[in-house]
Amino acid sequence: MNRTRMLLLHHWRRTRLWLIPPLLLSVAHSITAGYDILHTHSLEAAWDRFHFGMGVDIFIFTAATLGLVMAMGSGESNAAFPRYAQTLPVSDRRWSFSYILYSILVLSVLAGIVTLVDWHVWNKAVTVEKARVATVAKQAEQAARQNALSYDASAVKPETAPQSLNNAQAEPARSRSVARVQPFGRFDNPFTGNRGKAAKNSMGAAPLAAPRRLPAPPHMPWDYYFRWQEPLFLVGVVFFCQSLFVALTLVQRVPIRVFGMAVAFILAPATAIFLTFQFGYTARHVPDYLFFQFAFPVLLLMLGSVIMHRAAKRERHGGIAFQWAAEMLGRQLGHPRLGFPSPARALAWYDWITFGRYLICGAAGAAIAFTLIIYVFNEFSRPEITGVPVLPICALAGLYLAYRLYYGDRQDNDAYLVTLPVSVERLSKSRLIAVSKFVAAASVIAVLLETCIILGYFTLFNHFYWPQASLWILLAPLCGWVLIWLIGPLFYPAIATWFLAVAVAVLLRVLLPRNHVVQQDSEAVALLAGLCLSSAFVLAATIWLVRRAKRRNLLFKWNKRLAVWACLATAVIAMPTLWFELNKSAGPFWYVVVLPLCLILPLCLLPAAPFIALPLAIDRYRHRCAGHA
Amino acid sequence: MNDQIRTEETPVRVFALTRRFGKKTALDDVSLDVRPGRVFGLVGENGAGKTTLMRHVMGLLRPNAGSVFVFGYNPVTQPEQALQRIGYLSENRDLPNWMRVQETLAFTKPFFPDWSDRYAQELLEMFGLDPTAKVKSLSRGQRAQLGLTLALAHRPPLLVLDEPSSGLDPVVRRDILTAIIRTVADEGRTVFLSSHLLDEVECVADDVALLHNGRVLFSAPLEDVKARYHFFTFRLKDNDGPPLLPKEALALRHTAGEWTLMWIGDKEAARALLVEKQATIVEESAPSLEDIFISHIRPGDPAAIPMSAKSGAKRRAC
Repeated sequence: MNRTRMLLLHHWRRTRLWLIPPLLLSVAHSITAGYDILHTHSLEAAWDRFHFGMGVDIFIFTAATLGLVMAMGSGESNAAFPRYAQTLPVSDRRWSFSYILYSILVLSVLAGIVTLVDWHVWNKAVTVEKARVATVAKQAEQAARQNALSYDASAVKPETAPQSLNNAQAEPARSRSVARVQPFGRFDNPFTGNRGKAAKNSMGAAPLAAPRRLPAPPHMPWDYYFRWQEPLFLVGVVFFCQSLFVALTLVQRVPIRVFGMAVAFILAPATAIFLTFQFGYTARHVPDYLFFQFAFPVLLLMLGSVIMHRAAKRERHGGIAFQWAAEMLGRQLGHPRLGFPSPARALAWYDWITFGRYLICGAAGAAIAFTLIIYVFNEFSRPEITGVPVLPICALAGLYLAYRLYYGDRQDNDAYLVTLPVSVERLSKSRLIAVSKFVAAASVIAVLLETCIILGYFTLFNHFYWPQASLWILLAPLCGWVLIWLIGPLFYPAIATWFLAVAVAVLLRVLLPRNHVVQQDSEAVALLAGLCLSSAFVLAATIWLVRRAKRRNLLFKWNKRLAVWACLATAVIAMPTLWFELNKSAGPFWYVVVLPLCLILPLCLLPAAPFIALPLAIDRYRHRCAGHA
Repeated sequence: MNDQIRTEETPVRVFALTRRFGKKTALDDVSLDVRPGRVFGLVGENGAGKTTLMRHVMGLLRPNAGSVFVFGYNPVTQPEQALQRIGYLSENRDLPNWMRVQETLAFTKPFFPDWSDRYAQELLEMFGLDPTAKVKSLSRGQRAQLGLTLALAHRPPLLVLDEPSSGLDPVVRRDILTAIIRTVADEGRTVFLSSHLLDEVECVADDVALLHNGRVLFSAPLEDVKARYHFFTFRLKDNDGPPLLPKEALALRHTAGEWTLMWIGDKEAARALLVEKQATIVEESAPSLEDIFISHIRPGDPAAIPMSAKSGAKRRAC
């Protein structure tokens, strides 16, 4: 076996398991799109869902997982060139080439599988839908004929001849009707530039014979839709993302960079896909179309390959990119801490350095980015939407802590901490307080920053209009800030609880069935099934957590009290609000109000999870109850 | 065994400890006691379970069966009481990379009521560590020195060292061994160390336990262990093949017309046997810990006997 083949095999062995989820997701997506066709009878919508959905969902996940696995796979190195492979007698060029080739092969095969599944599901659904429409058309024709006969019987002659008085007249009408029902037989390949024509035909496809109340679905059996250029530019994006590692080596040994990386991995392909779909498929001029469909992916692939190759080379032969930036970031700000009055202060400092400062910087960045987004969407006049980045910050904080508990020992961070004489109770209490404090501070900073930017904008560019609530919006974070830093640690868990309650309320609001949902059975069933599953999962998880914590003697007075308080607070906030919301819904009372509330009630247990789970997680991390040594 | 049992005088008591990782049994019914004021050396090949046992002593693993007590405290359920009495140097030198040396000391100090700034400073100066240097910029040897400083600065009654000198140069190894000897000799504390560098264990250990495939093959004072093993170099009258020997003969090697035998047990019995076989004893010597170790790990393997077995004991003298 030659070296390149061996390297390809190595890449395959390293990534194969991670390729299963996107593949399963794509199949699930195709099947649900087919299900939608059968239930909504909207081929247009389903067609869009096939194309945009597949492009956005599947390839993002593929690119993200492939890139992340390539990056993080063994845990030995976060670089394009794993440490163990750097000592192999393989040239940098061969390594990079094998990586590029493997990525192209895998993504192409995945794209092929996805296309085949979509093709199969689409054609199957179209066949069923065609049969249904044909039956309806036949029934309508029979009904029309019977009407005509009864009209004859009533002896009132119409001025114009009825549609089916004789075969000679009826036959062209029938054939015309069939022709309208199946307007173009095969869907025109958009690559030939006929997509506009196809859409135009489909819009004018109202069958004459079909009753008015029935939608007129266009039938488009899928004749292999060409999309093989997409893997190319996705590979380019993946390589381009690899260059991030070079930049990220600036902040060595800081695990939070993994999240930045993950976000970049998802955002970069998403942006590229958005550009291609937005400008590539809707381009009216041939040069634009060719550029976005071909030149753009190829350019991206070439650029990404070069960057990836250089990153791999640098990784192997040492050297840090942007040395000056690395030095600047590594420089200690202020004087080092040389004394702590108590272990609690020491732990708080530890969490601040390893977690808090990044969270607050991230919150500030998110706030600025969000402000730009709301500026782009022209929503500056709605001051109440400031503070939206708070929820992602909460989620990020939770993810980061979970990550640290899992990877902490590999990152040389918390391994030292657990050898210190401090109990699990003290450690988890300290961490919970610290996290609450940081999340609260990050939220305040985010809201404050956004408000200042918005108010600054109005002051500078719009002298005549100020949002009504602006002053309060400005004061609220300041009050929050004062409360957080002055009232003391007792307040922090309450803040955490409040944020969790808000998060759950938002989750419930999203999950709840609305008016229009009741009319669409398939979606309502899916939502209720989702609710059932979520509730059952939360209930089972809570019971499991509590039982496990009890067995390990990790149910302390303080965390029990906080857990109960958090659950009650969520229920008190969420349930009445939801009751009033649900009451407005159409449909039977038990279906739109009672059932969802019963299902949602277990979700109110969700905020208790951190208080019970954190000591358990720390205990597991510390004592490695079942796992590796 | 009940958690409430207090055996304050015993620094480490391991009783019927079993630990499994999936299907692999890392420790199988291990029992041993570390006596106060002694240096206890835990030896074994790679993967024998030394680090796993050390991690149990630190409470970093929960036993599947059996129990571990440190000064009578269970390190899993009573980590504060147990770990305050331990100075620990891990095999991987797990230290927060982002801290500076002085920050590491400052951070560790509040957790130990008996922390001595003066002693920590003294150790830093002894090792020549720059207090303002970042941990991630330290070499492997310097990290070990910093780890040892952190482990010793609160003058713990028990020092737990997991492979303290693996991968270190002779100077740093000597520093660490000196620190151990000083800790024990000057202050009468207990040291529990694991290593596969047997000459180093032989130099410092008072008691030794051999771990093989998760089981303790023996645990005894080093003098007693060494007193039980003997090398006999002899010549046979008829040089036509290896002599048939009983199970006490752990290994036999033939070199240049002479046979060398490693014998476990009574020395007189070996002499009587050789006389019976009409052998002429050329020399008797004491094997080193390494020879004993190999003879147990690979019973019957001639490689357990070094080529120059005659001077084996002298060769490995500290």
